[in-house]
Amino acid sequence: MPTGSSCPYSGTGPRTFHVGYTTYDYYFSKFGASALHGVFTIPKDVASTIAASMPIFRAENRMGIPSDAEFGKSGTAIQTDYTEVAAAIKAHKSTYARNGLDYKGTVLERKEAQVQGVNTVKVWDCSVQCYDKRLIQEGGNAVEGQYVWLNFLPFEDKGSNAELDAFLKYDKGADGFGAQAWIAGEIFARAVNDTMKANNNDPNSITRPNLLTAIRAMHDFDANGMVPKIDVGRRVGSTCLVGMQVQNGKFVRVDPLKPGTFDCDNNKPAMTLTIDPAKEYHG
Amino acid sequence: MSQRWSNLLVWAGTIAFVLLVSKTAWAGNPVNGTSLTNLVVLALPLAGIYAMAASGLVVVYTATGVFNFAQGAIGMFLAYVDWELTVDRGLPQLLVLPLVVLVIAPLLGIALDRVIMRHLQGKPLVVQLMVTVGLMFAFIGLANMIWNQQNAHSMPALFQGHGFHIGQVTLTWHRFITILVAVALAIGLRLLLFGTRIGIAMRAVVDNRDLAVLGGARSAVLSSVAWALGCSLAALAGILLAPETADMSTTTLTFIIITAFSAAVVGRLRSLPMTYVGALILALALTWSNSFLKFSERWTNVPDALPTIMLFIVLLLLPRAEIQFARIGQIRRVERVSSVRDTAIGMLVLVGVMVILSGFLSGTNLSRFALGMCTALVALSLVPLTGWAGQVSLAPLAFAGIGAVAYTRLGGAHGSIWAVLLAALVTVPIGALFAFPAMRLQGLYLALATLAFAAMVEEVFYSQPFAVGAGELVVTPVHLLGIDFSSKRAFLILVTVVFALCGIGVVALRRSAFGRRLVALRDSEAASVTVGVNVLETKLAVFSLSAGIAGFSGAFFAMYALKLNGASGFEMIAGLPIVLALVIGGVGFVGGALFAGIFGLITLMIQDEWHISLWVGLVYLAPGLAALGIIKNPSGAVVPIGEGFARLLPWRHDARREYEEMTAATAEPEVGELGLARPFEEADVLLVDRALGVTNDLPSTVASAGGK
Repeated sequence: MPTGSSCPYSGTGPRTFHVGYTTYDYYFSKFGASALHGVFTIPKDVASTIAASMPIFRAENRMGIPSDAEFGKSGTAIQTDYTEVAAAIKAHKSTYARNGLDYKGTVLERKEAQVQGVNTVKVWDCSVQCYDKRLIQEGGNAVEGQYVWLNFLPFEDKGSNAELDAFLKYDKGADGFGAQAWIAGEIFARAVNDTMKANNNDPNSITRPNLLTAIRAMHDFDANGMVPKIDVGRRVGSTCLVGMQVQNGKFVRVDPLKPGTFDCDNNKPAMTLTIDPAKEYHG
Repeated sequence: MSQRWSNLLVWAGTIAFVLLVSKTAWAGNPVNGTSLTNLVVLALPLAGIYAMAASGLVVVYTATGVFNFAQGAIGMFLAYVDWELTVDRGLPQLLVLPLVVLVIAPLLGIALDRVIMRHLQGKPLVVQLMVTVGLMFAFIGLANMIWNQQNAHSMPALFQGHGFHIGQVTLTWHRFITILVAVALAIGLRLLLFGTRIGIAMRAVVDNRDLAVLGGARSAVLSSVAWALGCSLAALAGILLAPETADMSTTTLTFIIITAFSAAVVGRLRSLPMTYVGALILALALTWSNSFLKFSERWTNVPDALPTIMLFIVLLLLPRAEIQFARIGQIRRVERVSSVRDTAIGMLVLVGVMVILSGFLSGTNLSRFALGMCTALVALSLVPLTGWAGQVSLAPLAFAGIGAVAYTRLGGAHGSIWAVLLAALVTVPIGALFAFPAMRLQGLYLALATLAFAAMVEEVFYSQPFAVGAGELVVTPVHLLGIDFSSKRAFLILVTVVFALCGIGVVALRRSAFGRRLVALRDSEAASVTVGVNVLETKLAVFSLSAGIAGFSGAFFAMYALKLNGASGFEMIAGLPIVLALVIGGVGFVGGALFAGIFGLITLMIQDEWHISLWVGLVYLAPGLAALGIIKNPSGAVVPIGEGFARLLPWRHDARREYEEMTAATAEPEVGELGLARPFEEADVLLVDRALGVTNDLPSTVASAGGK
């Protein structure tokens, strides 16, 4: 699930999505309310990736980051394919750029922007898929300043949360998707425990229907503080996030600064928008 | 229809298609000097990459007659060698680049030629193609095993990505060098192949090996030179392309070659200048679509389909294949086909084993076995088409995908049994349509046309609202005679029974007059026409039959997956391992199809169960190595397995007799040159001379000339 937004990404036709303001309020407070306008790169290989990206991009448009240009790119694109993206950023003097593909897409876009001499962008934005050591290893100095937003505590917070420490102890090659898998495992573990508790510790009660019932009843899961409280049962993600930025070849926490905490944007409700992602895409 | 009119029709259709697409998807960007300059500057580096990738293909094909699917994979592997030496070991690129391109790559090429490629001469086209496909997977596997893909691999561009401006775009020195190298190679290779003795000899060997050898050409040396050159070109393309990828992805570097196929076919796999023109057209078309067109909804993936659309159009424009007269056709041993009774017994055993085995399998393994049987069913569709009729198709999964959609749309959402039959019926006319290009195209070009068709289906068909569209389609397994096949065990038994029945039907067909017509078609179209075979009718029938079986199998694929999501599971590239496994098993045998299913099952289990990176690499490496086995036994693995097993059956006296005869035959002394069992010595020459009345008093000048 993209950070700060909520389902449904499956299905067809117009659907209602929820996208949090946290990321953008941070940018607006730092750069000004109308300072950002940008170029968006949409992962276009399959319908589900378009459906996962378009609600966020449209929400950003409505929050005050208008699109200068939009491009659909494949996961198999090479750096030359990003020349037109960099050219569009230069032509529009864009101040914001966001790539919805995996970290490789961001690396290619940033490298090509560097080649083409792009120097107007204030915010290079990305979600959890960019929280990967390979972003820095492969991108080098081209990815300096890259923002990455997380819906779990960053690994740099090691020592501030027992759950995070346990995860880092067992996952030696940790990345964003590994952390999400760990959290999914914790949800399962809690569902098992809740099922046992509700059935007098009867191990035979651990059945698929009972587990699904337990999961649907889970409204305040936080993986012992590794993630903000999320309503798993109603499939509503939290709008609380942690902002990271690549500085001198490292991920550095920039919002909020205190380790072990999340920026919840004063519990501001998420934006609700109803769109048909497939119709919104013009890559 | 004459060639001229048919070409005119294709050209008119292409122009109308381009105009219609441009008008419909026009993004509204201004077309002026600046935008057109940008278009050219953006296209040129792409054209250089495609040209280099395609030129390697052309050189190897021109000089050896082998279409090398592994060209991209070889380039990828050698790019990793370059990375290892420069980035990981810190050696200077100026030293490493010549070392890799001029030493390591040629040595690899010579080794490949000596160990594998030389033995492909005279083998059926499908075997030649699948050996190179196997090699492609082997190189991917080897690279994955040596260089852990979880780690970062980034190749720096030459001159640190600096460049110069043309219009509003910066052309890096790296890309400029790529363009220059491509142009220099075009000139150099043209001079080599047409202006030097060795180049002319290389081409002569492909045109007519025997004649070229009689003229003094050393075919073995020429073949090695061609492979050495091909590998050097692959290395150069791989190394220059590697910095354009973020992580030196093994798949991106390998499969870029498929995009370059259309450029190579523009040059009819012979002409390097036309290949470069093809690469330029392809790059301009892609850049044009990116710069000036916007595709959405059902047409989202059209830009990705452009290379294969271009490939398909170029193939349609190729001149009609000439019927080969006055040449000795390849002499093949016609494969022994089991009797219907034996096949029925074998299939009964298979079903019985599966019924018993399924009782002990976990849910996960039941699913895996079911997928294996679905794979066997789709592989079966190629047995009559490729195995017997010799029409190479690389698109079995495309037809299966169409069948899966047809099943789901026509009642499969509710498990209707009629929908299974309709799935087969819907794919029959689409398959039949392929008989028409098959009348014009033969061999490799037909195989490439099917590959292009599979790619177009993947990119354009599934996103249509009448197919799958943007969402998912839910599928329900069939209900038959009151039995619900939604349980995993019941479904596995159902698909095994279906495979058994289809297998028996296919064998019955092979033993009919139609089956014999197919084999006649494979052996010689010209000869089969002279004995009254209607080629068009026979091709129509076999393409329809194959598509029907594939569509039928698609319904079961859909039932297995329980949902359809875009092209997932039916990608063009996923079809290649099925063809590969079938060829390893035996493309002319129902047992070969079963082998393909088992092969897929084992691969799936390795992939799922063994998470050590070494074994994950083995998933690619193993099929590649197994493909090398085809060289020794082009009939397939099931032949020796079947012959060995048949001798154990009490009623198979014929198998035992055949084995005894073969053992006796191999015990005889080997037949040498001139058909003699012992060397032809001077004494024999004198004997023959005496018998023929040849005198020994030749003029001294003639004798000395003969002695030179």
